[in-house]
Amino acid sequence: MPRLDDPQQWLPRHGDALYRYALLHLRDAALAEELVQETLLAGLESQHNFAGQSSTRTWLVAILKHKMLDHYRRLRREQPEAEPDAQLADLLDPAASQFLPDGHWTQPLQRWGDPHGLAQRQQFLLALEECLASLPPRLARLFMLRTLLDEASETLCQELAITPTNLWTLLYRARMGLRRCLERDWQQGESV
Amino acid sequence: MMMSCRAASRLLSEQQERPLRLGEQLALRLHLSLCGNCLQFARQLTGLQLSLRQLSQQQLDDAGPELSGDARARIAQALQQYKRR
Repeated sequence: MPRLDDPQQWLPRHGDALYRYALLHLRDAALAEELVQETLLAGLESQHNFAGQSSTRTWLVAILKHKMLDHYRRLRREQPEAEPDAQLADLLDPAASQFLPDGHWTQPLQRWGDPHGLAQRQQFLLALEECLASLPPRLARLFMLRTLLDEASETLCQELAITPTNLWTLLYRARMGLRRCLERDWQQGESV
Repeated sequence: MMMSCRAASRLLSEQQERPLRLGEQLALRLHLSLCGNCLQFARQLTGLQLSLRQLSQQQLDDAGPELSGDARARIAQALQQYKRR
Protein backbone atom coordinates (compact mmCIF):
# COMPACT_ATOMS: atom_id res chain seq x y z
CA MET A 1 0.00 0.00 0.00
CA PRO A 2 1.48 3.36 -0.98
CA ARG A 3 2.42 5.70 1.81
CA LEU A 4 2.71 9.45 1.64
CA ASP A 5 6.16 10.96 1.20
CA ASP A 6 7.47 12.90 4.15
CA PRO A 7 5.72 16.32 3.94
CA GLN A 8 9.17 17.96 4.05
CA GLN A 9 9.71 16.46 0.60
CA TRP A 10 6.45 17.58 -0.98
CA LEU A 11 7.64 20.95 -2.20
CA PRO A 12 11.00 19.76 -3.63
CA ARG A 13 9.56 16.59 -5.15
CA HIS A 14 6.14 17.66 -6.39
CA GLY A 15 6.08 21.47 -6.29
CA ASP A 16 7.13 21.98 -9.92
CA ALA A 17 4.78 19.32 -11.28
CA LEU A 18 1.84 20.85 -9.41
CA TYR A 19 2.86 24.27 -10.66
CA ARG A 20 3.00 23.16 -14.29
CA TYR A 21 -0.33 21.45 -13.99
CA ALA A 22 -1.95 24.55 -12.50
CA LEU A 23 -0.28 26.79 -15.05
CA LEU A 24 -1.58 24.78 -18.00
CA HIS A 25 -5.09 25.03 -16.69
CA LEU A 26 -5.14 28.55 -15.27
CA ARG A 27 -2.66 30.31 -17.58
CA ASP A 28 -1.62 32.64 -14.75
CA ALA A 29 1.73 32.18 -13.01
CA ALA A 30 0.95 34.10 -9.81
CA LEU A 31 -2.32 32.28 -9.37
CA ALA A 32 -0.70 28.93 -10.07
CA GLU A 33 1.90 29.60 -7.36
CA GLU A 34 -0.82 30.56 -4.92
CA LEU A 35 -2.78 27.39 -5.58
CA VAL A 36 0.33 25.22 -5.18
CA GLN A 37 0.74 26.73 -1.74
CA GLU A 38 -2.93 26.21 -0.87
CA THR A 39 -2.68 22.64 -2.09
CA LEU A 40 0.32 21.80 0.05
CA LEU A 41 -1.25 23.40 3.11
CA ALA A 42 -4.49 21.51 2.54
CA GLY A 43 -2.40 18.36 2.18
CA LEU A 44 -0.75 18.93 5.54
CA GLU A 45 -4.13 19.42 7.07
CA SER A 46 -5.68 16.30 5.63
CA GLN A 47 -2.74 13.89 5.45
CA HIS A 48 -4.33 11.64 8.06
CA ASN A 49 -7.20 11.07 5.58
CA PHE A 50 -4.87 9.63 2.96
CA ALA A 51 -6.42 6.31 1.95
CA GLY A 52 -3.23 4.78 0.58
CA GLN A 53 -4.77 4.21 -2.81
CA SER A 54 -2.52 6.44 -4.88
CA SER A 55 0.92 7.95 -5.03
CA THR A 56 1.66 11.15 -3.13
CA ARG A 57 1.72 13.09 -6.38
CA THR A 58 -1.63 11.79 -7.58
CA TRP A 59 -3.11 12.58 -4.20
CA LEU A 60 -1.76 16.13 -4.27
CA VAL A 61 -3.00 16.65 -7.83
CA ALA A 62 -6.49 15.63 -6.73
CA ILE A 63 -6.34 18.30 -4.03
CA LEU A 64 -5.09 20.82 -6.58
CA LYS A 65 -8.04 20.08 -8.88
CA HIS A 66 -10.43 20.88 -6.05
CA LYS A 67 -8.56 24.09 -5.35
CA MET A 68 -8.82 25.14 -8.99
CA LEU A 69 -12.53 24.48 -9.02
CA ASP A 70 -12.89 26.40 -5.74
CA HIS A 71 -11.06 29.28 -7.28
CA TYR A 72 -13.32 29.36 -10.30
CA ARG A 73 -16.39 29.28 -8.07
CA ARG A 74 -15.05 32.09 -5.92
CA LEU A 75 -14.33 34.17 -8.99
CA ARG A 76 -17.88 33.79 -10.22
CA ARG A 77 -19.25 34.81 -6.86
CA GLU A 78 -17.04 37.84 -6.57
CA GLN A 79 -17.32 39.21 -10.09
CA PRO A 80 -20.52 37.83 -11.52
CA GLU A 81 -20.93 40.62 -14.02
CA ALA A 82 -17.42 40.66 -15.43
CA GLU A 83 -17.64 38.92 -18.78
CA PRO A 84 -20.95 37.14 -18.31
CA ASP A 85 -20.92 33.83 -20.10
CA ALA A 86 -23.93 34.58 -22.26
CA GLN A 87 -22.26 37.73 -23.50
CA LEU A 88 -19.04 35.89 -24.09
CA ALA A 89 -20.97 33.32 -26.07
CA ASP A 90 -22.46 36.01 -28.29
CA LEU A 91 -19.19 37.79 -28.86
CA LEU A 92 -17.16 35.08 -30.40
CA ASP A 93 -18.47 32.29 -32.48
CA PRO A 94 -15.61 30.59 -34.28
CA ALA A 95 -18.17 28.21 -35.75
CA ALA A 96 -19.86 30.97 -37.73
CA SER A 97 -16.99 31.48 -40.17
CA GLN A 98 -16.50 27.76 -40.70
CA PHE A 99 -19.91 27.17 -42.24
CA LEU A 100 -21.72 28.50 -45.28
CA PRO A 101 -25.22 29.89 -44.76
CA ASP A 102 -26.64 26.56 -45.91
CA GLY A 103 -24.80 24.75 -43.09
CA HIS A 104 -22.02 23.14 -45.14
CA TRP A 105 -18.33 23.46 -44.17
CA THR A 106 -16.66 26.36 -45.97
CA GLN A 107 -13.50 24.33 -46.54
CA PRO A 108 -12.69 20.64 -46.70
CA LEU A 109 -11.37 19.41 -43.36
CA GLN A 110 -7.77 18.27 -43.04
CA ARG A 111 -6.89 14.75 -42.09
CA TRP A 112 -5.07 14.80 -38.78
CA GLY A 113 -4.33 11.10 -38.80
CA ASP A 114 -5.11 8.52 -36.16
CA PRO A 115 -6.42 10.24 -32.99
CA HIS A 116 -4.34 8.06 -30.65
CA GLY A 117 -1.18 8.63 -32.66
CA LEU A 118 -1.89 12.34 -32.70
CA ALA A 119 -1.86 12.56 -28.91
CA GLN A 120 1.68 11.13 -28.92
CA ARG A 121 3.11 13.69 -31.33
CA GLN A 122 4.97 16.41 -29.46
CA GLN A 123 4.66 18.80 -32.38
CA PHE A 124 0.92 18.54 -32.30
CA LEU A 125 0.80 19.00 -28.53
CA LEU A 126 2.96 22.11 -28.84
CA ALA A 127 0.65 23.55 -31.48
CA LEU A 128 -2.30 22.69 -29.25
CA GLU A 129 -0.76 24.58 -26.34
CA GLU A 130 -0.26 27.61 -28.54
CA CYS A 131 -3.80 27.41 -29.83
CA LEU A 132 -5.15 27.17 -26.29
CA ALA A 133 -3.27 30.36 -25.50
CA SER A 134 -4.92 32.07 -28.46
CA LEU A 135 -8.45 31.42 -27.19
CA PRO A 136 -10.02 34.11 -25.00
CA PRO A 137 -8.56 33.33 -21.53
CA ARG A 138 -11.88 32.74 -19.89
CA LEU A 139 -13.00 30.33 -22.59
CA ALA A 140 -9.68 28.49 -22.38
CA ARG A 141 -9.99 28.14 -18.61
CA LEU A 142 -13.52 26.84 -18.82
CA PHE A 143 -12.49 24.37 -21.47
CA MET A 144 -9.50 23.11 -19.48
CA LEU A 145 -11.65 22.83 -16.38
CA ARG A 146 -13.97 20.58 -18.33
CA THR A 147 -11.01 18.52 -19.49
CA LEU A 148 -9.49 18.02 -16.11
CA LEU A 149 -12.67 17.00 -14.36
CA ASP A 150 -13.70 13.50 -15.16
CA GLU A 151 -17.17 14.22 -13.86
CA ALA A 152 -20.13 14.61 -16.16
CA SER A 153 -20.59 18.14 -17.39
CA GLU A 154 -23.84 18.36 -15.44
CA THR A 155 -21.84 18.34 -12.23
CA LEU A 156 -19.70 21.12 -13.60
CA CYS A 157 -22.83 23.15 -14.42
CA GLN A 158 -24.01 22.92 -10.85
CA GLU A 159 -20.62 23.88 -9.50
CA LEU A 160 -20.34 26.86 -11.80
CA ALA A 161 -23.98 27.90 -11.73
CA ILE A 162 -24.22 27.89 -15.51
CA THR A 163 -26.96 26.28 -17.56
CA PRO A 164 -26.04 23.12 -19.48
CA THR A 165 -27.02 24.73 -22.78
CA ASN A 166 -24.71 27.65 -22.10
CA LEU A 167 -21.86 25.39 -21.12
CA TRP A 168 -22.30 23.19 -24.19
CA THR A 169 -22.34 26.23 -26.44
CA LEU A 170 -19.12 27.52 -24.91
CA LEU A 171 -17.39 24.16 -25.13
CA TYR A 172 -18.51 23.80 -28.74
CA ARG A 173 -17.05 27.20 -29.54
CA ALA A 174 -13.81 26.37 -27.79
CA ARG A 175 -13.50 23.14 -29.79
CA MET A 176 -14.32 24.90 -33.06
CA GLY A 177 -11.81 27.64 -32.25
CA LEU A 178 -9.07 25.14 -31.46
CA ARG A 179 -9.85 23.14 -34.58
CA ARG A 180 -9.54 26.15 -36.82
CA CYS A 181 -6.35 27.29 -35.12
CA LEU A 182 -4.78 23.85 -35.42
CA GLU A 183 -5.62 23.56 -39.09
CA ARG A 184 -3.81 26.81 -39.60
CA ASP A 185 -0.78 26.11 -37.42
CA TRP A 186 -0.31 22.42 -37.74
CA GLN A 187 -0.02 20.97 -41.18
CA GLN A 188 1.58 17.61 -40.62
CA GLY A 189 -1.65 15.67 -40.94
CA GLU A 190 -1.48 15.06 -44.66
CA SER A 191 1.85 13.31 -44.43
CA VAL A 192 0.56 10.56 -42.14
CA MET B 1 -34.22 16.36 -44.96
CA MET B 2 -30.69 15.56 -43.94
CA MET B 3 -29.11 17.25 -40.96
CA SER B 4 -26.68 20.05 -41.89
CA CYS B 5 -22.94 19.78 -41.24
CA ARG B 6 -23.24 22.60 -38.78
CA ALA B 7 -25.88 20.78 -36.76
CA ALA B 8 -23.89 17.55 -36.98
CA SER B 9 -20.74 19.24 -35.66
CA ARG B 10 -22.68 20.60 -32.73
CA LEU B 11 -24.04 17.16 -31.90
CA LEU B 12 -20.58 15.63 -32.15
CA SER B 13 -19.35 18.15 -29.60
CA GLU B 14 -22.35 17.61 -27.33
CA GLN B 15 -21.85 13.90 -27.50
CA GLN B 16 -18.86 14.46 -25.24
CA GLU B 17 -21.15 16.19 -22.73
CA ARG B 18 -24.41 14.27 -22.69
CA PRO B 19 -25.92 11.08 -24.07
CA LEU B 20 -27.63 11.88 -27.38
CA ARG B 21 -31.29 11.01 -27.81
CA LEU B 22 -32.10 8.10 -30.06
CA GLY B 23 -33.38 10.36 -32.86
CA GLU B 24 -30.22 12.46 -32.69
CA GLN B 25 -28.03 9.37 -32.78
CA LEU B 26 -29.75 8.01 -35.86
CA ALA B 27 -29.68 11.32 -37.72
CA LEU B 28 -26.01 11.81 -36.86
CA ARG B 29 -25.09 8.29 -37.93
CA LEU B 30 -26.87 8.78 -41.24
CA HIS B 31 -25.08 12.08 -41.79
CA LEU B 32 -21.67 10.61 -40.98
CA SER B 33 -22.23 7.73 -43.36
CA LEU B 34 -22.57 10.23 -46.20
CA CYS B 35 -20.30 13.12 -45.20
CA GLY B 36 -16.53 12.75 -45.26
CA ASN B 37 -15.91 16.19 -43.77
CA CYS B 38 -17.99 15.54 -40.68
CA LEU B 39 -16.39 12.13 -40.28
CA GLN B 40 -13.05 13.92 -40.33
CA PHE B 41 -14.36 16.40 -37.78
CA ALA B 42 -15.38 13.54 -35.49
CA ARG B 43 -11.82 12.21 -35.68
CA GLN B 44 -10.40 15.66 -35.01
CA LEU B 45 -12.56 15.96 -31.89
CA THR B 46 -11.39 12.60 -30.60
CA GLY B 47 -7.78 13.55 -31.32
CA LEU B 48 -8.28 16.86 -29.52
CA GLN B 49 -9.70 15.15 -26.46
CA LEU B 50 -6.93 12.55 -26.27
CA SER B 51 -4.26 15.19 -26.83
CA LEU B 52 -5.59 17.44 -24.09
CA ARG B 53 -5.51 14.54 -21.66
CA GLN B 54 -1.96 13.72 -22.74
CA LEU B 55 -0.89 17.36 -22.42
CA SER B 56 -2.34 17.53 -18.93
CA GLN B 57 -0.60 14.31 -17.94
CA GLN B 58 2.72 15.51 -19.31
CA GLN B 59 2.78 18.45 -16.94
CA LEU B 60 3.24 15.92 -14.17
CA ASP B 61 6.39 14.52 -15.73
CA ASP B 62 9.55 16.29 -14.88
CA ALA B 63 10.16 18.86 -17.57
CA GLY B 64 8.91 22.35 -18.35
CA PRO B 65 8.35 25.54 -16.39
CA GLU B 66 9.29 25.48 -12.71
CA LEU B 67 8.42 27.46 -9.63
CA SER B 68 10.55 30.57 -9.33
CA GLY B 69 13.01 30.78 -6.44
CA ASP B 70 10.88 33.47 -4.83
CA ALA B 71 7.71 31.45 -5.04
CA ARG B 72 9.48 28.38 -3.70
CA ALA B 73 10.82 30.32 -0.71
CA ARG B 74 7.42 31.84 -0.02
CA ILE B 75 5.68 28.48 -0.10
CA ALA B 76 8.35 26.86 2.07
CA GLN B 77 7.83 29.61 4.62
CA ALA B 78 4.06 29.16 4.61
CA LEU B 79 4.51 25.45 5.20
CA GLN B 80 6.90 26.13 8.08
CA GLN B 81 4.44 28.48 9.68
CA TYR B 82 1.72 25.92 9.39
CA LYS B 83 3.81 23.34 11.25
CA ARG B 84 4.53 25.72 14.08
CA ARG B 85 0.87 26.40 14.66
